[in-house]
Amino acid sequence: MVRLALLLVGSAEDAEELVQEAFLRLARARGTLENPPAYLRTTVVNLSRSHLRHLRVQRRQPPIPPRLIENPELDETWGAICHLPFRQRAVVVLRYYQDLSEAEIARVLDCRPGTVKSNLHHALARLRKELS
Amino acid sequence: MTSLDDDVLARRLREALRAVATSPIDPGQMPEMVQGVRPRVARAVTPVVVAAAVLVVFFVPVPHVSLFESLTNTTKVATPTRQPVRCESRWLRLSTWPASPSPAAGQHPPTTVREIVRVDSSGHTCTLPAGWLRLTSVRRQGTPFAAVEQADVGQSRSVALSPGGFAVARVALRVPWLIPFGNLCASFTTIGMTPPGSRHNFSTGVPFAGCGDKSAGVLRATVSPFRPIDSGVPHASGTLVADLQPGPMALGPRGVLYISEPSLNQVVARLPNGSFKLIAGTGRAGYSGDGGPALRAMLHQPEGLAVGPDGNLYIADLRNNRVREVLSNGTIVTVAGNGGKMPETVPMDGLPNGPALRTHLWSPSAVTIGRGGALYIAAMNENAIVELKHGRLTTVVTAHDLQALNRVDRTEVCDPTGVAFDKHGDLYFDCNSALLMLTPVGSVVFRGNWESSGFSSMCAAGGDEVAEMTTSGVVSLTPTSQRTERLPSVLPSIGILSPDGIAAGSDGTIYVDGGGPPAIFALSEGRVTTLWAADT
Repeated sequence: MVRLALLLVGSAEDAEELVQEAFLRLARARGTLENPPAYLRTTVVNLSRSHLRHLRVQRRQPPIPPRLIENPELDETWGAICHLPFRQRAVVVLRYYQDLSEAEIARVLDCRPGTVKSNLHHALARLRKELS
Repeated sequence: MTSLDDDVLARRLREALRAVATSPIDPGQMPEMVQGVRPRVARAVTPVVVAAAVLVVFFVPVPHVSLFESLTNTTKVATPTRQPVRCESRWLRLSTWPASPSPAAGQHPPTTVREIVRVDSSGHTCTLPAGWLRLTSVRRQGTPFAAVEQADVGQSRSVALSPGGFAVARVALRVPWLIPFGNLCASFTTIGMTPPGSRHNFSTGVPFAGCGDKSAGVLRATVSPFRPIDSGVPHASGTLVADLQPGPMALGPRGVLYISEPSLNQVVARLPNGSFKLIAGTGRAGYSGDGGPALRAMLHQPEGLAVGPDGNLYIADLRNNRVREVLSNGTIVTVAGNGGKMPETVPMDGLPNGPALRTHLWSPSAVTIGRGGALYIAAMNENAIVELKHGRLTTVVTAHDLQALNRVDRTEVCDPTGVAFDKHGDLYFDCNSALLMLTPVGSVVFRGNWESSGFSSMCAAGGDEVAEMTTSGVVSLTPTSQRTERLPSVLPSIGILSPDGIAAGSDGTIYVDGGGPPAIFALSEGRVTTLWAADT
């Protein structure tokens, strides 16, 4: 989960905090949940989104993607992922890191599968343009 | 230039994500920020830079490509302590200092352009080779302002820049072999002024916008510090401390546009004649000055602004957890919030109501004047909308209400950062990527969701229109009769990305800042007018 949050917010420290918070909420909601792992994943995604949005106002600066990889091609790819709007970034991470299907992603993000499809389409188009 | 096919792209994405996820976690790798530089601009122009690079590769014979690339994003610059660093960003920093340390009274010290360097988003710098950039003109409000000798970077030629007001320096990029494009491929502009007898850096903003016509093909750069015209106070308390970086805005009477400078802890006004005037804030972060002149008071990250019916200015003083008011005689007072420390968790039904100055208010991010002259406050960290009326704070929308909508996930916080009334008395506010509305009878209605275009960040209402800002720069103009109409693509086409401020006039004109490029635009009936920009 920390890895998922790291890919979404780009900072390891923040990712750990977000995941801790997600587990706290899971503990609080225990008993009322049908599918705790799915709840946890949704919570991490939502917290990451709020966190990034919060940062924008709070610090008046966007998070800078840390340089984590040596391989320049992958570094460039990671940079391009970081430039995506949050929902597109989330769809890409869930699709290509967590290997979720479009239907599963729709459940995590609480939206229609069609929205996932169009977000993925836009994200890939943008990445393709940036990386070509 | 072939497009990546699906499989290759998917493989690269998988590999990159896996590589990041499995990389050793080292918080120390977070790069240091460069003061005065707003990296989101660099991020925002990436596609343009890529496009420019593509054009160059297409037109320029191969041997020249590597030279030009160092202005885009593939230069390798050796630094003493690290492996060669890819200077990937397009930041430019113009360093100057006065040639004479103690200018005679009344005389403007000449300024020497020492170097123009690029700074990437990690803070690494790459000095451009001598002769690549040349200062060609210094203009003030559109007219020539100071004599310019030939000032190639690296040759330290003298240029006279006068203190007071602000000037625009145009710097041309000299790439003589780019003849296919006609004249110079690009130039950029700096705006700022030099304080007498002090040395400073011009920290610059926007970068490489590519080749083409003036609107699309200039490199712009802001320089600091910016001193507003007619601030009317001693420089110690009346100087805007750095670049003008427009944030949230509000329209006052007689065409005055108030502009927050959250990162500078100041509020300025743009007068109808185009000049700027400092309104509040010394530039130092803090809480002080109540009962005295607003110019000598300290603010801490002022965000949203609102103008009352009497012309008084309300400021959401976010980090002070208070709302301040600047009276028409220039005195500043606190009108809401006790400034107290906030609890770890906020009750879902909001913080307790109570007398305005003795009640907690947590991170007010936006304010607007509403029904009966009451002030409505978006309290970001409370996830609530709070009403200030007759000296009392009352929560009118809580996280509970929002979750009841089923539009806001129960794990999600709302973080409202914009609030506005339309003429029917509906209160609009943003909530993550959604635009919500509170009707006069107290029900919350879902009004729109611009997820694909980014987060909703600000909203404003004026005349018949409600405008909403998203982080990718799309404004939704929403005539009340037809609430889904949008004004697509106008903003991106004039280079506005990730804007911070929006205001609406009573005639429905929408004012927005340039997001990255320091600029203020007015949008009216689909037309865009530049009110202020770095290149005047």
